[in-house]
Amino acid sequence: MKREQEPNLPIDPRYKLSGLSWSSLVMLETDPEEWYTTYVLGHKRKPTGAMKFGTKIHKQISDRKLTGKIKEVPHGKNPETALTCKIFYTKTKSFNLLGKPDDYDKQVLYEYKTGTKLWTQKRAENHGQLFTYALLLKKTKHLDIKTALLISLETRTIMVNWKPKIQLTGNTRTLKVEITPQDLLKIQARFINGYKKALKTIKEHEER
Amino acid sequence: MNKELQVIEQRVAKCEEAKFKIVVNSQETYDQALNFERKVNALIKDIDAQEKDITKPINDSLKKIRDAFRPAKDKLAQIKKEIGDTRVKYIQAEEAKKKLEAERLEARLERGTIREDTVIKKLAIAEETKTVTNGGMTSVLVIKHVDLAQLPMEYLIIDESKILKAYRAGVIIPGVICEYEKRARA
Repeated sequence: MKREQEPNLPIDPRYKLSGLSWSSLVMLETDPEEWYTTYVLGHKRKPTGAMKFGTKIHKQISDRKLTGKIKEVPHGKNPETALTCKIFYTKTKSFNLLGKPDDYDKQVLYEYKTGTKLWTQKRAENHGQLFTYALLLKKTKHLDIKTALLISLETRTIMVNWKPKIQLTGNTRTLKVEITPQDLLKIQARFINGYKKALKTIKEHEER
Repeated sequence: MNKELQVIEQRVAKCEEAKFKIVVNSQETYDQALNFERKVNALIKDIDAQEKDITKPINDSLKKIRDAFRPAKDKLAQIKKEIGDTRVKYIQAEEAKKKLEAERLEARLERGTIREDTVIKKLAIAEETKTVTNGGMTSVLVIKHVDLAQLPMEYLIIDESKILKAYRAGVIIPGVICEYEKRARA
């Protein structure tokens, strides 16, 4: 039987493909209207200073060029690899799942987080992004990822010449999260509900 | 009260002035310092008494008011607790049921008696139909079990008063050394 794909989801500019990413799912769950504005109309919010700083640190980590108080963090062998796979919500119908894990190797997934507060174990264990990437790696690279390391890097804002500047404090926390086959099933279920919400939101806007 | 406070402040200022003149370097100056400390102590006691004259009736009234309202508040707290416990029991049972169902589906998927998309669809429906707790539930981290043989030293808290009490009673505690050190007392 031929498998079909729903055409309704917008194209994600980062992947040049229609589908849902982890960040789009979170936005759909919390504010479908903001998702519509951002992903369908393409009106992206201006990145905040903290977001820009996070991107800079991620780049330094993937280039293995961390400077300052932290010189090295645990890492894998495949930084910033864009991955896509299909999630089937019926035998024949699917949508694309999109994602770019910070890093991975054959057994471990690595995710880096910058912020003023270090992550807790509980927060890391409930962080669906890790399961999303483990699922993507299973479906695209056939890797059975059972462990994810979430590396939390603490930041603070200092004033330099009367301007706020974000920097790493040097405090880090590496949190180990076990990933089970059930986690991968559940995250797909979550994406399916997100997908339904996306279609509903688009339909509501078209009917207005 | 302002007048009383002014008098107290004057007395404290005098004490502070006198403090700067005290040097302890002989038996005579030691005795003078000790006498001075005793005078400071008397002043503290005097201030405490004046303070108590004002605060005691206020505290007594507060106590009476609190005693009058307490029974009603206690009853309501009990009612709240009982309803809260019922809610927690319901959510726990629901979560256990959901977990069991997810495990059952996972086992069926492993056996090959169900398709993956069917499992995911069922889990998605279960997730959609779950009770929304609306902020009425929180998770509290608790210690369920401790194996002292494995627990690293850094997580142990020393019971100082128990150790000192035992030491005074002549008990020798392995790994502990106690000694008396001098502290000023007026």
